[in-house]
Amino acid sequence: MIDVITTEVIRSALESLSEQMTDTMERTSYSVILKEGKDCSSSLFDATGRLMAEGANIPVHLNALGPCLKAMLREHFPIESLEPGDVILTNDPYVGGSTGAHHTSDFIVYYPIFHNGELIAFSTIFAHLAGTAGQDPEGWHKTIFDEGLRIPPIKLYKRGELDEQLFRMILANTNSPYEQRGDILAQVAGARVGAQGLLSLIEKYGWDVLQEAIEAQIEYARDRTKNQISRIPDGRYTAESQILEDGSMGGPYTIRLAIEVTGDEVHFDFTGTDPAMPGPQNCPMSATISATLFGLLALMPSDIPKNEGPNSQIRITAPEGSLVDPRPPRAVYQRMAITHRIVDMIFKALAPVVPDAVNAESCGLVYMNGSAINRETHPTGGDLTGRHLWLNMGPSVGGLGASADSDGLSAMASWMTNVATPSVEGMEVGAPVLYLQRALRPDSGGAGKRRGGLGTIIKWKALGYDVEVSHTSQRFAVPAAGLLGGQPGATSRWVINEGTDREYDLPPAGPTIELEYGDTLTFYSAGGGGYGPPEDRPRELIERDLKLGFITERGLSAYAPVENGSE
Amino acid sequence: MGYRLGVDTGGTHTDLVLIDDVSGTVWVDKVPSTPAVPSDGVINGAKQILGKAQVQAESLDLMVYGTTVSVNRILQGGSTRTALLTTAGFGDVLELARAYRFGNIYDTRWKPPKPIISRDNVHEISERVTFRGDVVTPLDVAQVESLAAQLGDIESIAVCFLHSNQFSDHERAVREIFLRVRPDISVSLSSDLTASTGEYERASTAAVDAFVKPRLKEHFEYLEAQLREIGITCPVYTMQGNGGVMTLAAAAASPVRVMNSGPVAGVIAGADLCQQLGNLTAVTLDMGGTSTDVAVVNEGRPRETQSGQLHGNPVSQSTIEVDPIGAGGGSVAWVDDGGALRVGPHSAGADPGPACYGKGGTEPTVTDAALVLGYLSPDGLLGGATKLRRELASEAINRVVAGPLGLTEHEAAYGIVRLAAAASLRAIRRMTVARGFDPRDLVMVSFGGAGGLIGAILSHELEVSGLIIPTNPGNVSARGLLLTDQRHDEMWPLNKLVHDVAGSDLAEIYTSLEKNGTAALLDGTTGADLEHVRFLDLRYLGQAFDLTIESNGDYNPEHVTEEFHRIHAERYGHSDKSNPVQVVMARTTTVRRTPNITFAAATSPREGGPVPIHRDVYFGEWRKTPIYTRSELRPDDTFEGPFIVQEQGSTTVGLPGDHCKVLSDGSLLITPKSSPRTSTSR
Repeated sequence: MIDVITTEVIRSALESLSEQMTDTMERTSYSVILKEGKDCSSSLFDATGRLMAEGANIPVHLNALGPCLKAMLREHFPIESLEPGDVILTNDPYVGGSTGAHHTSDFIVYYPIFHNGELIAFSTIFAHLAGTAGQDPEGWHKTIFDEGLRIPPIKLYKRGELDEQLFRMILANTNSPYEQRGDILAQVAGARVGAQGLLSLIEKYGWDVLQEAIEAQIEYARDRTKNQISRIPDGRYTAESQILEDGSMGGPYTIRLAIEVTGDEVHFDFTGTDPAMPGPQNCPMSATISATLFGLLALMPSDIPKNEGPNSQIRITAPEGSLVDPRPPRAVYQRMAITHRIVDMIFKALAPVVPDAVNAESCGLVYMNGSAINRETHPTGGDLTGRHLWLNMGPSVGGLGASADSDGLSAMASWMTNVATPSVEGMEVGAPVLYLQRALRPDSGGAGKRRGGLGTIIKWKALGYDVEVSHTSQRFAVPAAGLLGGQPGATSRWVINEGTDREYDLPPAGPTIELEYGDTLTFYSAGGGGYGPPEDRPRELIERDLKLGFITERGLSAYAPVENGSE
Repeated sequence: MGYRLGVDTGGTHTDLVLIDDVSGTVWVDKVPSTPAVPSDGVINGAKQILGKAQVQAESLDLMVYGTTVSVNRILQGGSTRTALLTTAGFGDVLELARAYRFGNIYDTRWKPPKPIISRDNVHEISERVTFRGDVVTPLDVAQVESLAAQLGDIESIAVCFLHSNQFSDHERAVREIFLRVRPDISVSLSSDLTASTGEYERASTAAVDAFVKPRLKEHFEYLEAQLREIGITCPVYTMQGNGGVMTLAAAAASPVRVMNSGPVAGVIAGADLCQQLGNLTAVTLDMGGTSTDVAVVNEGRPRETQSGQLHGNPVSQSTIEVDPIGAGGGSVAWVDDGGALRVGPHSAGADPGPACYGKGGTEPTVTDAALVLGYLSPDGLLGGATKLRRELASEAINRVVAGPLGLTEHEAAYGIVRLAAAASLRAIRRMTVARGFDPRDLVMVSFGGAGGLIGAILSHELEVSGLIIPTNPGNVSARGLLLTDQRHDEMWPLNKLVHDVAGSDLAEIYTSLEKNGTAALLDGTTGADLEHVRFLDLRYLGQAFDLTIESNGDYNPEHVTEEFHRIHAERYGHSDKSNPVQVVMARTTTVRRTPNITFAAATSPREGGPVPIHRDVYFGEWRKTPIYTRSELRPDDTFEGPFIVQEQGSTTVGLPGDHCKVLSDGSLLITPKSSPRTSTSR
């Protein structure tokens, strides 16, 4: 029996190894979204696809690779077909049903690790590669074929040899092949670090000892998860949520969730969820799994190791072909719309039994992207006639829901996302656009004992020609709800040419729109829901909010209901 | 030359080092810090060490003062009345930050740091410039004038306008207006402090500067007056984050430059040691009671970065790269609800401190474990001044760790030490690998009060080629203060492709940057003794990280491109000659060299080899272990592990199989005799 100290030392070494993989990739990659946004995560799996250790940067990456690995081993590359030096690449959401990549911009590298001629583990990296999902990644896609090249699991390297022909074919389908080449090679370099690191740990401790330590860690994480689940009273807890609730793009579509807690196990049952839509807001099963795990683990101490342990206590079922487990040819690029909802639904369903652990509802998904012909401001003095893509405009933030002990975070991405927002200065260099405002949106946080986080106001003017803009926001018609007496946050809103005679509103989502040179776009992002009755909010917090302008005189009324028309 | 005095004010202790430039003799001392009136501790310490060395205050040539604690205290104390001026529409720049949850991503209770300047003290000014310098909206001078008049009791303002890093006219106009209308208000312009793109980081840098400036100025003026009173009239310098020193007056005018300077002094001393030992590439580990700082020294030179942060607020400055990694000798061991042993991040600090201090601490710490294992002598740390109480350490370890986990006392203690090492290991690996270094190519230089305690375990696990423990490990930081050059950095953003940069333009930019550098360091001299070094920050177009090359000859785009491909391949393992290379920034460093010091090792004659005493020490099993006294060691002494070397303020542990050699400057060089053993051998 291995001692607790060695187990801990090995756990630290494995987690350290995952971090080194991510660091190696970040340092050597090209895309801004990887280097500044850190939109990549690394994990180590055993030969059967069980998660040994994970270095996730972003919640939606939580155990994102396990289901895909298992399906790949089952359907594409059985263990015996893999050889030392092989590197497998995929970005296909539809591996093993829909347990592949979360969307086609997520490139996954699997690096099989051999010890004494036997395949013992996989070193894997998952990275968001910008420019891989077609010309208009955030547009309103009708099918997966609108979302760029789909790469089922293929061997990019065979016995250590890069397949240059295949690589050229993949790169020819991306927006900036030189960046993507660097990114994919950086990804392979990171995965190789994981493989070498594991082999040197084996040399140091022996594979037997290492395996024992891994089993002990998995058991430890499972025990702590069991402990935590046991604290939730047995029962069946349900929640229902609608997307595109205003009726746009064929909505509303309904997600239904029943959470069945029995002792130390939980079953998340999505039965009754609507069939997948003919648009991009479908959520592959792999992303449904990540969101569900996050929603549950967010209720528990944050230091429970993220390995296979917790997974075994959780069962997830979803109707095949539904919004949460779609099938080809459904588009999936905006799957985050549903992952954010799943987290809010888990919080809402369990609020009556674990009120101190949950948050009120949050702003959900925000996407904004565009392109224009830029005749004036190209930063490098380069081609002034070509279409200039606005990559990563990044205002994907709003207000988060409040909790029993704190106000909601303002101007933050919803729970499943965590990508840093680029600077206004950086974006103006990168795109023909002049920002007029980027500010907190007063009075947008739901009133409550704990106030919901504030949304933001973003306003910019297009300085390019033939401008095309794709956009999505949630909490448009139905706001982020408060909890236990808390009030809802403000809804989101898109306005073109606000304050002029050419002003008009956009629907929350839909086909790419066209703007003229000089048009302005103003986006009001949604606020988070409040927690507890507003009248329980301490006076000094209300006064502080007023002083700092988080609420105005108008917003004050939510805290002091006028009685009998007097006062 | 005469004498130099280094004073490093820490949270609990003020460390002092006095050096005789002629003989190389070094005196070290330590007095309690005085947080209420920080200069009191400095004066007390200076008087004490000068008295012990029998040196007249008047014969000091140079004094260097480490100020990190003062800056932190001002920032956390929070009493400066500060305002922020921004471009209209962007007043929430500090509130919005980068919209990134940089804590544990599973922690839904995480909170971002509170902005330094609150929202009600932010004023949006009508003005706007594009990134190409076009003025979309001219500065509303009348608005600024009337605002200045209305600012009441505001002491200090920060100004950050969009794109001011390249076009700073409007920011400078604001300063002119304040000089005219409200000369009593101190003004910090973001464009003065950094040339980097990113309005949030620049605004944060300016806000921190504005917040700290009035208080730091008062502190320095008071300190200088007090120093004069005890006869110290030599120039007094303070450490900058970039590893150089500047006068107190210059520091008071630009406080962001002196931030994070405390841990930097240790890195400078470690780098100096590496230079003397043949330009080693090393990882330095500065482990104190509550924290550990790690840095990489590349061929004897510390590495620099252009960004840093203070209490969660970004501060864009050229800084020696040093990472705090948490664990220290006071890190507390505990058992979590899943039955796993953990060490840290909570620390017992200096008060109450580890259980064995007998000052009321009841939680077992790394220090307690080291005592139980026999690494530390019960006779205490500071030359016997503080006795350590083994029975208290033993009680805490048994109650909190050994009992619940069903381990023996020494197994539990050994586990605590190994886990403390594992936590540091993870951070060191991260630090080195993320910067492109393989730990196996490095040596480790370990110092600080606890640096010798787990240095050997770390060096085995990291498989570094050797471990070096300098003399007086507890005073290395204060010594580093005395080794630094006077230095001033300037920079200018270019953001152009290599071939679009004209050599004549670049030469002009460099000349003007060097003029600024000279002005900053002139200090009543002709400036003839100043050296200038020119740099270019480069990246592949589209990358987000820069690499820096020296650029001292004529500008040749071909050479620059080639050099960049070369260092990119060296650093990251790949380069791509088809990629365009971008020049991001031109930078200059102006330096006035500080004369080198050769530290003398003890050379007084000694009969025969060093004579150890022995005690039982636990290394997975109890071993009768020789205990050496550091002051009795002489250069070229060698001995085999396991061993322990004791000295005032510090203890070095060598593992079974280690080989130790005393170097000419008195440092210990510890190397594994054979290949590293597995840590599972029990």
